[in-house]
Amino acid sequence: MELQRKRSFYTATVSHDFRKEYKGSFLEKKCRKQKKESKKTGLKSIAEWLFNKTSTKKSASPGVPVTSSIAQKLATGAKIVTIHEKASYFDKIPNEILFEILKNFKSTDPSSALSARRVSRRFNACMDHIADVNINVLSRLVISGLGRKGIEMRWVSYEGQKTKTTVIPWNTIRSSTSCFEFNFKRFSIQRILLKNVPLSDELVDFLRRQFQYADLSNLIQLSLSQVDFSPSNCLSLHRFLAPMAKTLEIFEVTQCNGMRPDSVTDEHLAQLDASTVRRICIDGVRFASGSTRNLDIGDGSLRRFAKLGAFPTMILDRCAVTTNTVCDYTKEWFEQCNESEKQLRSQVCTVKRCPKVKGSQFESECRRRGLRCQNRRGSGSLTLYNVQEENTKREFTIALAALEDKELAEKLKISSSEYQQSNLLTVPIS
Amino acid sequence: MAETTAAAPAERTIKISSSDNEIFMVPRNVIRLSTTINTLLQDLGLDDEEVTNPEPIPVQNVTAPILKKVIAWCQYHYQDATPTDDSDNREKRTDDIASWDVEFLKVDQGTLFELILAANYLDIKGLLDVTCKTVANMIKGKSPEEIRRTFNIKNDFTPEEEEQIRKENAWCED
Repeated sequence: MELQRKRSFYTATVSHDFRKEYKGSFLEKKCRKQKKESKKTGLKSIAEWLFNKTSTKKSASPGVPVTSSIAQKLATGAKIVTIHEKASYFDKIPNEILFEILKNFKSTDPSSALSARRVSRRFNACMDHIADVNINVLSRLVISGLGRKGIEMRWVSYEGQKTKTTVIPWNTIRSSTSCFEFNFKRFSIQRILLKNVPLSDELVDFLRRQFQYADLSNLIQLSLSQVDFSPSNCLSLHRFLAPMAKTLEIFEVTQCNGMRPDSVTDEHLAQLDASTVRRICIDGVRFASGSTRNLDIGDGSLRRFAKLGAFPTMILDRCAVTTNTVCDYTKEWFEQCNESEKQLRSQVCTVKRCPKVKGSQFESECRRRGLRCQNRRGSGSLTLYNVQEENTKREFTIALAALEDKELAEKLKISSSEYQQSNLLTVPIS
Repeated sequence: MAETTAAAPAERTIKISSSDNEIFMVPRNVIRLSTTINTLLQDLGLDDEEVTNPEPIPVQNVTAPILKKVIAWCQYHYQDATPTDDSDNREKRTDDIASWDVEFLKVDQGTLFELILAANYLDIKGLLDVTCKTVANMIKGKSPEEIRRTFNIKNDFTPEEEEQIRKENAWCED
């Protein structure tokens, strides 16, 4: 038989638990107070007794210093209780006045502004909200990936001949509160370069959060180089472009990997201001899966630019544009090119590895539109077509690069050996 | 209850009562520097020449010694040109405080901060501006630790946070 402790309180029979009622009640607090006070007075009397004892010892023999560590500790302990920390006058003033005080440093004394940031959280928060603190024009802001470590942000100012770098770990990027507001409020950025980073929603959110404070009115270039598109979706680039697209003159996506057809589309290019953009470069496209496809940049973009009378220099790699539209775009350029302009004008459009654009077809389509087309062999697989209108020196250069050997062979279902003899740009439409 | 009269040209005066019930008689054109009292007088229809205000206007948040100093400042500056809205957009400077104001504000920290609060409550732009600049000058050129010591401010940053801010500052400082 197992021994059991006798219960003095049967919860089964009594519905009301008085012990619960006692917990945290006035009665319990009163008892606790009395206990504490008796403890305190006890300690105090011991401290006094020890203190008196040591002081009498000292007076008896002044040459020998006798100290009791316990007495000292207790005495200092008693002192701590009585001393109250003096409050700061800054605690009395509201934030708007603190803001008024700190506003005096916004551009006249940046070093004091930086010192003020480090005083306390309140000072820091206030300094964060002070606008245009000593604007710093950044010629370039380079954001590079450091693998698992995070990202490196480096700004370069050609004007001030300065460059500064900071490393931001991934946990800071992932945190929805992490903000470099104070820094970015001081930045007027001209060029943003993303190198070797994954274009994840986390990174896009982090950068958007920072850029909302920066002056992007002078931003002319956005370049994405060796960016990994695999963690992105069709909205990632769209959201990243949104705050800056309207001022961009140069938009580049080069040597990027993990791409899908919707990584860069006509919709993305439609975000750019046709009257501002001077150069669009989509080059070195590498898709996520082994099968080669093309980006959803089709005739829509070329038609839109032609309709708006905007003809930026373009490099379109692995896109869905067609021969007819490229020819129409060329024709439109000649029609809209200002007649009164005396000087020689030229324009370049490079179409690379676009399966729907064929060299032979391009020549015949140009002739059909009354354009003279001179075929001039370019470098490597590029073929340059200098297109001229009758009785004019103006020239539109179209550079075409066919699909690579393996791809075209696969597309036309012919063997590689047969393919070696065929002209890449005069392959009939499959 | 003591009554203090601020010496000024013989003209209409306004009674103002401090939080500790001391009454001050202030000339109307002196107290116009306080937007709060100015608006109050206009809203209550006490701005007409015929109307006298038998009841003093209570200034709840300001004690007599501070109110006395505020009135003294207003008496010296009541003929100054009214600051325009454009002055907000001008670059802030802390070295343009008038010598009279510099002497006037040679007070202890407690009084200086009370004057800031009074200027804010009474909406006296000029006084608020000059008191804020004085505090800014006390901050200027000091390290964070010196600022904390001067104003008895508690450092509530964790070492990691402080290091992060230091790094941020180093990154953006040109």
